Amino acid sequence: MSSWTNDFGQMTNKLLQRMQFSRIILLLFLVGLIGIGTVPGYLSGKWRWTSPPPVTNLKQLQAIRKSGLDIPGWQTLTHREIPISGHKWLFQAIERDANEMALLLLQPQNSSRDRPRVAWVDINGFQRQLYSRWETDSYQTKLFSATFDNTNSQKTVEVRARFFRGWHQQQTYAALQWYAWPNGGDPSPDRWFWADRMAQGKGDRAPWVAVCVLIPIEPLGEIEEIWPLAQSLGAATQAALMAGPLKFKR
Amino acid sequence: MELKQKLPVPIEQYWFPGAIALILGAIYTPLIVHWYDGWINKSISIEHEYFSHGVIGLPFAAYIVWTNRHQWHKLPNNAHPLGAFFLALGGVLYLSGLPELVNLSFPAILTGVCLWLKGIEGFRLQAFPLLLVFLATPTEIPYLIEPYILPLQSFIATIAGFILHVLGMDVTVEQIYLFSGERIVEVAPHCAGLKMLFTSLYVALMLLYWTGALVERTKTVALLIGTVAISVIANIIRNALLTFLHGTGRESLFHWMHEGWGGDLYSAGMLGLVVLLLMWIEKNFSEIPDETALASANDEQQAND
Repeated sequence: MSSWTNDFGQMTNKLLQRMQFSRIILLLFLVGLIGIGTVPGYLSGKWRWTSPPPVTNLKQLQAIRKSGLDIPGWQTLTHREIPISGHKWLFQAIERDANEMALLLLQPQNSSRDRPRVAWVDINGFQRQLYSRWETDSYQTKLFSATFDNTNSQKTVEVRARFFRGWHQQQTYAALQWYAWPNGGDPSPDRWFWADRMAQGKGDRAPWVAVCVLIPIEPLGEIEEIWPLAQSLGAATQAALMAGPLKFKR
Repeated sequence: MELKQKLPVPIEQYWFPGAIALILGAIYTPLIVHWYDGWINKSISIEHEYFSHGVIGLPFAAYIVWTNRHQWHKLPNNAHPLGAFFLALGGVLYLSGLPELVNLSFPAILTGVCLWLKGIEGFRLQAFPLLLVFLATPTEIPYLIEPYILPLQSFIATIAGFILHVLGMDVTVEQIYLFSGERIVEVAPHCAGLKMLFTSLYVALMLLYWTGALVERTKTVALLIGTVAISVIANIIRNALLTFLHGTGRESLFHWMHEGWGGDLYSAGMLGLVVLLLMWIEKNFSEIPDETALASANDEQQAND
């Protein structure tokens, strides 16, 4: 019996010697990885990595397509859900005074996996389909800040938007477009992508709404003159989204 | 007694790589199954499908590693510090639990294992299969690229529109839209052949390895450029065809070509063209026998090392 254990001990010693330190480390590392990362998955039959964290306020986001979006200081004239390029959008006409009116087109995120793609191209295509002509020019990038304010908290975020002139046979517009998320806004999908990534790292998400504001101006008028109005409406829209469906969290 | 002493040798030779393979298999089999499910059943996302070339790429990589096993065994054991870096990186990515990061942990861990066990030489030996795995690892890169290929989309729309116009169809092109009568065809990034471009470049890479042409730079560059050209031209024709079918109301044919197996057949034909191109390159670029002889001599030397 004792000689058997002796032999066995010698064998194990030799094995360990030949095995090298680095190999043992690798084995321990992989065993640790499987223990912490994989075993829980096998036990529960559910794998965390099959989908990103869920968007918790998806219902509220989808609801604005039907109910419209209340923008403080503006009155809603009419709103309805319309299809643009296979996606569901909210169309809403608003006015502040008898002579200040605007059109809003909003595409809220429709599923956890839904993300900003080519909303601006889709809108151009939609206008062309309606009026068979839609021209745009004077493209600029504008910055404005939006302040979300309620009893518990106040937060100011920076929004980057594209501002340009667009027209069809009947009307010229100043257009302001951006993707809005709880902590900011930008016309390009990649900024949203990284904001969403940062949120995912904390187990959260950055829900989004594509926003297009159209303000009627005189035929082929200068859009720069309308900027103060566009800026205030843009800021009000972002703030209304943060207060409501985007659910800004501190 | 003699028998007992001999016994550990073969066990030691095989149990360690076996154990590593077993643990890696246990960690990554559920993930790879998930990848294949997304590729074959198109159940995850468009971005995921961009990497569907992994369906053949991953088994091919495994096959190469298997054929390399004797060479691998002969390499001296030599742990490189970069191996620890890649293993740590892979570990952090895996434990994050987030879809794309867990995916990326797979090539990171494999690279780490190669470097940690056999150093730079081990990494060199497995470089090509590691590249195949890395390029088949689903990430969100296509999503980030898509906004920037708008010029390619409008180029394809313009040429397709021009071809249809020459053929006598009444078509107008606006940016990425082809209008024919009341109907509109949008050349989306996906349809613009970005996915097909990815796939054909990947297949071209596998073919270059398979035929041994990867060591010759001229052939490699020629085939990769040719593949891009084939892919772009094929997609112009495909979009013209789709607009023709949609514009003339041949709906069932349109759907067969767009989402049905007609599209797959078209893709297969295109990949066939890539194979033909490689055969042509093999025939026409190998005029200098000295150089190829030299290259194969080098190969042999490397194998002997």
